[in-house]
Amino acid sequence: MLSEKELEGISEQFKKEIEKIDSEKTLNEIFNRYLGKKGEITCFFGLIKDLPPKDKQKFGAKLNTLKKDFLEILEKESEKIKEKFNSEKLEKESFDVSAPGHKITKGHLHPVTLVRREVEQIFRGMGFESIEGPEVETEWYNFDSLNVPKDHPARDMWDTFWIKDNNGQKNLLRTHTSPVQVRYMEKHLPPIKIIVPGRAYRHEATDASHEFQFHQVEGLMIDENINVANLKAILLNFFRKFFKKDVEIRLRPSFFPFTEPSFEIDISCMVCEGKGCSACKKTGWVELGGAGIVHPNVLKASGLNPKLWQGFAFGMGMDRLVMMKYKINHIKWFNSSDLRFLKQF
Amino acid sequence: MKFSYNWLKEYFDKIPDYKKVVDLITNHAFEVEEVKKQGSDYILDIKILANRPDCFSYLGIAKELSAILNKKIKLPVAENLTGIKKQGKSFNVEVKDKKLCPRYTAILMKGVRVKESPKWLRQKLEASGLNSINNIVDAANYAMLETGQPLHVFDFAKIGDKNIIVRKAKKGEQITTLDDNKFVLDENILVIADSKDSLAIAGIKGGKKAEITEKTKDILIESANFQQLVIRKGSQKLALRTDSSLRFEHGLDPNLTLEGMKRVVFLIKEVAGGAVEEIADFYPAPIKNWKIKLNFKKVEKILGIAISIQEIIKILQGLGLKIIKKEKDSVLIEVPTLRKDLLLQEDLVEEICRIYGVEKILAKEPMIHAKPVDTNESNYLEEKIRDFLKELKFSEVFNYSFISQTQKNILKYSNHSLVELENPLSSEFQYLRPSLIPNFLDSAKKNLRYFDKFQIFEIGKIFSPNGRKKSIYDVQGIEEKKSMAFLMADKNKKMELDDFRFLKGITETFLQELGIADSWFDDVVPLIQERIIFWHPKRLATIKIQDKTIGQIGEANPALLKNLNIDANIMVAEFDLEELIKISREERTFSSISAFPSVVRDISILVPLEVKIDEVVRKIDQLGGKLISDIELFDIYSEEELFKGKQSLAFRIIFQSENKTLSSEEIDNLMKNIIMGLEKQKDWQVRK
Repeated sequence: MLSEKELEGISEQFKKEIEKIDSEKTLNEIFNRYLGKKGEITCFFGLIKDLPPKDKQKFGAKLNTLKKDFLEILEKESEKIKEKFNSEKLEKESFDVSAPGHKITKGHLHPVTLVRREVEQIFRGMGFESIEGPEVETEWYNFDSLNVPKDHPARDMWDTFWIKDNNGQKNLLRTHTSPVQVRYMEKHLPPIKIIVPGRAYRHEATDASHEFQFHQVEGLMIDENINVANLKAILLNFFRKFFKKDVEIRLRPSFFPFTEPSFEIDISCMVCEGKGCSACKKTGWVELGGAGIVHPNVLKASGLNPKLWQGFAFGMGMDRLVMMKYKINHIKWFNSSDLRFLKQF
Repeated sequence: MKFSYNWLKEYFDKIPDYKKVVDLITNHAFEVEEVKKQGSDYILDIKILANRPDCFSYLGIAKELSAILNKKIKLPVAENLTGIKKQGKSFNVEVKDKKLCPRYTAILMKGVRVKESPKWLRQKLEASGLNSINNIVDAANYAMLETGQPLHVFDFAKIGDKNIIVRKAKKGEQITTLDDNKFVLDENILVIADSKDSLAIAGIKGGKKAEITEKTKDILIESANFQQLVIRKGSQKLALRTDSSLRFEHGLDPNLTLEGMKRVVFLIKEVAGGAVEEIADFYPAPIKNWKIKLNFKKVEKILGIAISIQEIIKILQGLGLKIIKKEKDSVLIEVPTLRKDLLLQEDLVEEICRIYGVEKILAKEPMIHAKPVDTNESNYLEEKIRDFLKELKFSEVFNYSFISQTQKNILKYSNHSLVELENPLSSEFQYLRPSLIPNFLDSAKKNLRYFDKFQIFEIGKIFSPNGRKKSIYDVQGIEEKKSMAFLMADKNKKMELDDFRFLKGITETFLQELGIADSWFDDVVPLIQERIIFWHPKRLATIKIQDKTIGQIGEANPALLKNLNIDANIMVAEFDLEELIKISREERTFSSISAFPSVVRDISILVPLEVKIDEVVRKIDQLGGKLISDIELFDIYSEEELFKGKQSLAFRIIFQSENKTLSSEEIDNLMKNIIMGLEKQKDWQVRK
């Protein structure tokens, strides 16, 4: 007989049973047992018609609430089971993350470009603008204006590629980036702070660190009193930023017609940190370029009054910087256009 | 130049060990490139700087050390030559050109005994890399090594008519040198001759005729000064570089001849006996010491460090410079003729700097003008182009700026289209590249050995003859331009049009990125010979902006590729980078994105093969009106048998409105309109 007590009993029983649900199967069993065609709740609905009219409505409403509650609970249980099942399924999956990744094609920039940008950025931070100039030069800009007179043995310091005579013009491939100093000073008044990265050419035998076509970076700073101590500071700042190490620099006496005094620039060897090794020929120092205070004759040739202006110039092998930075053992790679090399950058 | 440490030691009472000496020389004078142990001695290979011919000698280096160590030097014993009979009786010296030979000192010695040198002399020469010949020649070489003055000794008996003539060689004149080599001379070479024959190539090498032999009794010693240029050119011309020419071509002090002579006479007397008979000294224009005024303030101004006046004066004196007059803030210096590198105050500052020690100058940041660095606009854009090509999966290569004779022949470049080198390294690098393409093909070929497919780009200078015109750099006769090229190589030869369209797509995107919107592709290509050789005759377009040509894109000519043994499809584009940068505009504005959905419709149409796709696109665009937002070609089909001279083109048309959702009715009407319009064209047929 349908009674409130009985409904409560069923509710209790249902709550106990749902705790046993551990799979879709047990869930279905419980659904059928209570809400299936012959389920207990379904049967109760069948019994309503036999009730006295005053109870019909009451029990009907109660049964509906019960059914709705049961459905809601079972729905939730079903969600839980599905979730559990899904995560179990993923857990069971076998997968090998060590399988190789796809090869993605990307573009690469030449290591000289990468290093040039870095050099430009560091000098830009110190207020230097990056300037370019022509690779085919006149004798005047490459030599005469730089205080290297004609037929002077000093010219032998730069083995030159000459262009075949064209209408009496004696042109050449610039042997250094220094002509751009003069070109720039002709058109600008101090204060001048420039660097000049670029290609230069020398008619000489090649080896692991020398190419007849190579890259340099030139620096020029002219103001009223720019001196050797300042040159040292700018170079030191540059090298320390560039190599991200506390390298030391050493200026050694040298001779360049366009600077006076003139120096070779050495930096402490980074392989042995100055102790002496095969990379630095046991000296602890590696030569990276030349520098000095711009010769009064060069200022004059550029249209500046040496009594008013003074400053330094330096030149470094850009290829050398690249080789040191990436530990490249031979300069031949730079002009090889070999993608096996270029794709590493 | 090689120097013996033990020999250098002889000029001092005491000097530090060789290691310290090497450090001192390197830090204060010249780089010591190598040190070699040789018995109990150390041989220092010192790189003498080009402006210091006075240091091609032991005394020169000893003087440097003396200044660095601040120690007195012990000068070697030399013969006193005053009071010797002047030339005229026994021999005569005649100098034809006093510019080429500013000084000629000669001494006649009689009664020498030629034999092997004593051991000490032989050892000293060998330590410096010279072979021992006999006591006379060795004494001359020793004196040269020590003083820096090259000396030559003739067998007096073999000098015809006892006449020494310094003259230019006659064209075709021949001489056999001491080492039995024959040289043919010309008017640009200076010789020492008797009345008949040349006896020596002046300043370079002695001749066989007046050679010293065991029978020699009387000798004529030459200590001369020759103009550096004539020796340099002669030595270059004959490809003959000697210890003597090396010194002369750097320019020697004419006052050195006597120093060398005094020392050699002393040495010969020591090792071979004999007596001085007569001296000749042709020196029409003696050179005297000069003066420089040094302002003390200049030292600090250039070096950025204060050095005391006392220290400055000590350094200058240590270098053998005489103080003529000292004032409160300046000093007047007399420079000996040996130091012709010292002409300006700045030169003196350098001397002070290096002897004082560059390492003592501490780094000090300059005071700068705080103004923004100008941005070089073209550099900026060039870098942007590099980044952009990298994004498009191109890798940057660098090639040589030269092309070879072979490349010239294969690409059929005419002589007047190339800039040729006067002295190329080899025929492989004989011309400056007129375009990036020739070397690009080599790059492609090399890389195809390792990669089936790749994309490369290069930015670099190209060169062409310019007649009498000046370039933008004011260089006459040669035009130099920056060029940019990219290349795609693929061993899998695909559908030709696809490759071209890919390249074109890249080019268009690339130009868009540079803010160039109004470019177009012209199939009318200028008929320049090398272009015909290089390019596929049809798969080629000129890229134009308005009427200006800015570049070329296309496929490399298969015949050329076959010729070059390249088995791949090569697509190339080359641009005038400077022109591109000039036209490029960086500014861009945002165009709003429509909030309303787009509608896509496909259409397929058969058109005759000679109809250009661009024409069809433009027709669709025109018929569809404003609501068309894009037209994409997604298929082309032109199989001969199926379509008989026609091609099938499939387009996807995208409709979108800025301000409403388009109804399908609206689109249907538009499509009807488009189809009707297309079919009105002769032989055009929309496939349904």
